[in-house]
Amino acid sequence: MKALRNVSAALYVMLLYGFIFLPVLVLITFSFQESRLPVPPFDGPSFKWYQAILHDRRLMEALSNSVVVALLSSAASVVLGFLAAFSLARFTLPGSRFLQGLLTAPLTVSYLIIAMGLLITFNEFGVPKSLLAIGIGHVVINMPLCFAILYSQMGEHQHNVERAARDLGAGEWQVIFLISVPMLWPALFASFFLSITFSWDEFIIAFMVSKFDVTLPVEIWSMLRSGLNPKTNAVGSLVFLVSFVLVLFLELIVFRKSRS
Amino acid sequence: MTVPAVQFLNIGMRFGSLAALTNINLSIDEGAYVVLLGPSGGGKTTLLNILGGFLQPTLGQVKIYGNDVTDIPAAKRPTATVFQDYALFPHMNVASNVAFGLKMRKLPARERRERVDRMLDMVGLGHADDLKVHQLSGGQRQRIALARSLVVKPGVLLLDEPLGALDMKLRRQMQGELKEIQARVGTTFVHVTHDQEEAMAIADTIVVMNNGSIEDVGIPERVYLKPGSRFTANFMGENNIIKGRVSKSAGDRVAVETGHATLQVAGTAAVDDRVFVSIRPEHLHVNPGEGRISLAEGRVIDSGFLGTHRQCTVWVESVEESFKIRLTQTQILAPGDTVSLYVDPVDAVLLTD
Repeated sequence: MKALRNVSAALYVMLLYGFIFLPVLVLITFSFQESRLPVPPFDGPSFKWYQAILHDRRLMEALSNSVVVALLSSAASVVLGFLAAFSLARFTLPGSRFLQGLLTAPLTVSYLIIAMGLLITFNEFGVPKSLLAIGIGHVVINMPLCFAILYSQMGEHQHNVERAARDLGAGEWQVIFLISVPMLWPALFASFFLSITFSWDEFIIAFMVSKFDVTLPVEIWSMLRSGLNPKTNAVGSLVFLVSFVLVLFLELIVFRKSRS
Repeated sequence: MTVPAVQFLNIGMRFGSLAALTNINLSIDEGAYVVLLGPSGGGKTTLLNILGGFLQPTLGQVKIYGNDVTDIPAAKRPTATVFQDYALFPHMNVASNVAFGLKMRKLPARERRERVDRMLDMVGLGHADDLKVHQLSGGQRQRIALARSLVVKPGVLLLDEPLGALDMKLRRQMQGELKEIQARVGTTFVHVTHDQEEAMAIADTIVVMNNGSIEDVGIPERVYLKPGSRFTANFMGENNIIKGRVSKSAGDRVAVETGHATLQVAGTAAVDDRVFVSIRPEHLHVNPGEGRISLAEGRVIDSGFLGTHRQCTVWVESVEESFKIRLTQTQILAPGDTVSLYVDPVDAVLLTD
């Protein structure tokens, strides 16, 4: 009876993880395919498709665009999110609960709606379709997340520590840079890397507000329009690898540290 | 005539519709160890925050060494605070914590280092300068918080329940150290606590606060032995409060009829006034003696051994009141025993409010 329970539990876990990771495994496996079609039977391994993407100028350009957009938009999201969280956690502002709700509201709106809104707004104000437009879009979706993470970490104890610094003669900027930021660094890093991960594989906004300069997900999408081939598998695997490394880094460095 | 270290002039504080402090007037001498004592919600921490510059009073003025500081923020006041949760900087080591205030004052590194070392030696943690905050015990954190505040040589040091998080034994030990350090540096200390034993152990002056007002101000002996109000009599240690009526009044002595006996006590009150008389448990005796008069007869209903003494509760049927009495270790009374209670009227205190 007990053995049966254990076996069924193990089976359930295998099915669950299989359901989540099988598509990724298939993707990665057939990125090493020798022939032109990423379907069974597997006839690799071969690295020629990886070589092909490294020599694809458009793809590499999209890759570097993605990196630039992710880094800059995440930095902006963290700075704006920190300032909003600091002011709402430390000062009683008129309607602060309302402001807080307004700041986190974009988390509940679908990216498609945000993308449409951005498109119309950019049109109205004459902002051209560009990498800058994508970056602004990513700040819109990531800043609420950064705000929520940072706000939750600015508790009463930290408030007291800041009061102690002020009491010992520190000015407001000194309090922020010598006390608040160093005390919050695990949360700041976590929100920065989460933002990078989200920006890195965001497609809908990037697709709608870009034209000539595109990010990697948009470039992959246009590659897919001409049908499946192992090259798209290779790019997909690369994207997955980067996300995986980011999450691993976050888990190992930041969350481990903040727990100790 | 020297200027007082701290003066509160008609301080009032409201939080919305709640009056946290009303009409506080208090003057604190330079070099004194003053303890603000009272139950939680009594207003003592609010008053400390007003002195430290963390709260703006709704009414009144705060003066430090004669200068009006009411509108000056915490960073610019000659005060430093030891917080209840210590509020040490968790990302810095011990030496950087203590040096922080000096750094803000832009002291040269060499002088900073010297003063930090001297201060760490004084609190007995000269060897700990490299440690991180999370490596310290509660008592050590307390000392670092004290050193961090004292190193900037504040005009007044504020301590907000500084021993609240420590266990009883460590707390008693730290009381002694606080008192000793205060005597050594000579700084004016204003210390908030709800522990009346702590207050008596370290204070030069106790300020008893309740419901946002000052109930009593005085040296510990006076506040304990001759409490100025019924609240103080009840709050400071254990007490028996007896209702009575003034039957005779002559100069500074009155006769109070209590239903058990007539007590001649010091104080002034008009004939027929309803008053209270307080008698400490240790001032009630079970046998007659020099100067003692008989107070009442009753039955022991409860008896306990508390180490240094025995404590009994005596029920007096005729007036339906119970009295707490304190006996020596060898005086044994069991529940059910009948006893007579005696008191020396000198020990009875007249309470007119």
